[in-house]
Amino acid sequence: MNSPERETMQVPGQPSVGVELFSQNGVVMRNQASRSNEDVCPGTLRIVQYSSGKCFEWHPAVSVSSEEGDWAVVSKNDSNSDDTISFDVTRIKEYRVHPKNKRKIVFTLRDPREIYGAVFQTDSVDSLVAYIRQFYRTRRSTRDHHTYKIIEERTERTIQKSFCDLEFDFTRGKSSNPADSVRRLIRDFRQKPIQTALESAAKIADLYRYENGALSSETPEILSHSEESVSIADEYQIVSPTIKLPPREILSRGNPLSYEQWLQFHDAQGRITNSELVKKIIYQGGISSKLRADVWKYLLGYLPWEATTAEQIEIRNSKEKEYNRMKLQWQMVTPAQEARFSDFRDRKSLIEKDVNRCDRSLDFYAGENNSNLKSLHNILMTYIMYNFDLGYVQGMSDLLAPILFIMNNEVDAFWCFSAFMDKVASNFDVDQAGSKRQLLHLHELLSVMDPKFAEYLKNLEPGYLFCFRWLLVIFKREFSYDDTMTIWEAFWTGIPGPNFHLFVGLAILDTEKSAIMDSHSNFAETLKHINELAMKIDVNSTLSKADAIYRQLLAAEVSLPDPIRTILGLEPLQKEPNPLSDSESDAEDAPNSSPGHCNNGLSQSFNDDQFDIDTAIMLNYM
Amino acid sequence: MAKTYDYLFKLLLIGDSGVGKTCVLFRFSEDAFNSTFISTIGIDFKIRTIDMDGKKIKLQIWDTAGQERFRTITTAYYRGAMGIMLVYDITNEKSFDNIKNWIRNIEENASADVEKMLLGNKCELEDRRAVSKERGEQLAIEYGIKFMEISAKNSINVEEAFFTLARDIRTKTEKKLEASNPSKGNHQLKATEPSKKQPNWLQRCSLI
Repeated sequence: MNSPERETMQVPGQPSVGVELFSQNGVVMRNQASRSNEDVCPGTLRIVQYSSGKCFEWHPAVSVSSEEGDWAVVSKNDSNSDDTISFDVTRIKEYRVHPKNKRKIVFTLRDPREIYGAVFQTDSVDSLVAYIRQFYRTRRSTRDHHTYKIIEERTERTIQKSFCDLEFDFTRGKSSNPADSVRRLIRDFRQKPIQTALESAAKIADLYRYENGALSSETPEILSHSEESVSIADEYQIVSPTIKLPPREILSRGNPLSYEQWLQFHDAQGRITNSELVKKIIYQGGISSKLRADVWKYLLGYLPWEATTAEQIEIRNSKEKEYNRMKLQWQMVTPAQEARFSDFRDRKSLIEKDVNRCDRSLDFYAGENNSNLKSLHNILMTYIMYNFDLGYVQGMSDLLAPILFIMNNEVDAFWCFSAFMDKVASNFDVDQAGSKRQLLHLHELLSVMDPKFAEYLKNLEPGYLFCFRWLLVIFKREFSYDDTMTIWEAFWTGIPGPNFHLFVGLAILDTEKSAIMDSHSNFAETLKHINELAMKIDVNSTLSKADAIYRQLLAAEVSLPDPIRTILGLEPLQKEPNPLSDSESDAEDAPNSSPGHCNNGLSQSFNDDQFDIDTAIMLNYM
Repeated sequence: MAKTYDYLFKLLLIGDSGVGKTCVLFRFSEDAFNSTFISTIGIDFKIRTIDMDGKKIKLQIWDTAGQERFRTITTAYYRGAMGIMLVYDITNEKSFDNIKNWIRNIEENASADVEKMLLGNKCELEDRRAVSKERGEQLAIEYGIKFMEISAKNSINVEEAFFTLARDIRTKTEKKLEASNPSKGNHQLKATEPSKKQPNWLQRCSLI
């Protein structure tokens, strides 16, 4: 997975300090040419930018805590330079992704004694490949369709050069001289840029799909997502291929964060030492239930990971004071004031109604005169003093009830709840704009993942209202308390961007696809089906699938249109709203420093291989 | 597939949060009461097929969230409803006062000829009554609609209320049917008015 650029530590053989551009844990790597039969343990593969250039580096990791089996705290090895691998990117002659196993990649260096094979234990190599393609121009080998030669680092280029790099004759039948074809194409671009671009892109896409048999045999499901009509710039109705996603790879869930692991993450002062790893463990396996009260405070940002025990006590004290002060504010409102304050009265009455019917079948909230109901009420009343603008909206009691159940303490529950509210505030917009936007995003994601199903659902109800409840309270009504908490914990880690709940939704829709499409032909039946899934959905398989869908989309990152990239938490590729309607200059000048900043979408598709072609077509299709 | 009913009527329950819409519906569809119900989020519906003068009438009854905040979501379901139950809580003055707002919502979002009925729920809580029966009756007369006090908890008048609304819808649609199609015995009519465009999921809201 791409990590943000950051300073990396010095590594053996590289005296200067570099910037880490890419990092992947759980990679086994060795020199296949050396025929060493030693067992190699997994390590970290990085691409580091030094002043001299980009460098591939791999070094083995040592596990210091592997009791749980699946998870290990990873730290740097004691610099046994014999175990590390390091080579400059310019030394790579070609790379080959294993046609059947997308987690294997082999780098052949210009020196025949160096052939490095790498196996990614958890992810596919797609993110690495996407990275390489972003910074290096590659060309598919004529010998082997799975091998790509590294041509050169991407710098200033002209479109002519890119055209010459195309490996197939997309002007087939018109001229036998490639130079003529290129000249004609450039002329056409000047005169009728949009039409020429679309025509060319369509030809390339056709060729690609026609000739690339290897892909179709591996991903029949994806290719079966046939052409969908998409309109671009209103006037063009083109047949575009859908975005090709790599096969979905479902990983089984890990173990929940255990007490022993949690202890080991504390340093002597009580700080949490590796919050990123903690989050990763939680994302993949949740938190064991007895730890939740402790860990949630960090996960929600109530306590900073780096706070020492002394600082935590201080924070806790000041938060308690602040809470009690706000609580006093509404408790001090006299009946006479209340009688003249209808907003306050309405909010209070709504809270009372909802508290009285919130999860009453659960022992924790059952029975008359239950003190936990009183706490629930106090927290919600205090929240309306904390957030006057929002007040109280139905659904908020659903978000609070499990938190209070875990914290069993008003002050902690209040601050954790308000942190949760910060993450989902838009769900409670006055005009429901936030909810509607998320439902639209759900449709947009499904349109990439499964266009036919998305179209089917959209025809039933364009606003996807049958999923409204899911998103409003982040699946709290669909799962048991325990399962809901596991979903929330994964959501709170923020690991798959800010929209993991949408992927949970996609996973459930995907599981229910045939049940919905085969037997429910209208909105009412579909709504009923979805509402009746409550308490019947398996949380672990749903979360595994949600994660797999996320990684599947992420692996196709470069071919995703900007609206989808944004939902995934990625930077948009395009800065301008509608590049295809731009002037002719785009076609010729296009000074692409990298496709990440490609400014017309067309040059990118023509100067790279087919992996990028869809970008041109899918640009702004939303 | 063999038809198991003669008519399909779509009904809607609206009213302030906490007046007991879900409980009324649960009483009618399951003949049960559950005091641990949680607030309704979004929308849901239940089905009950009733027998009326030898005809099977399938009632699809939609339940909505009551809070003002969700109105942009719930009003989408007004259109296409053939009958609407306006529910208030007799122990809650505000829920009664708000009926006029709910009526306005109906006028803005539902079909013009939708059948309406006013229901005062929780009538078993006589000692906590805040709205007299007379006021309920008076308001119903004002709007020209029928009125009943009901109790979902003690199962008072719930059955009667739904049967009354269903009968009124049936009478109205059969009258329409006769006016538009004099030949008897043909029930293939559209019960919707053509002037308003319906969301496609309700376009089949007609007599089957």
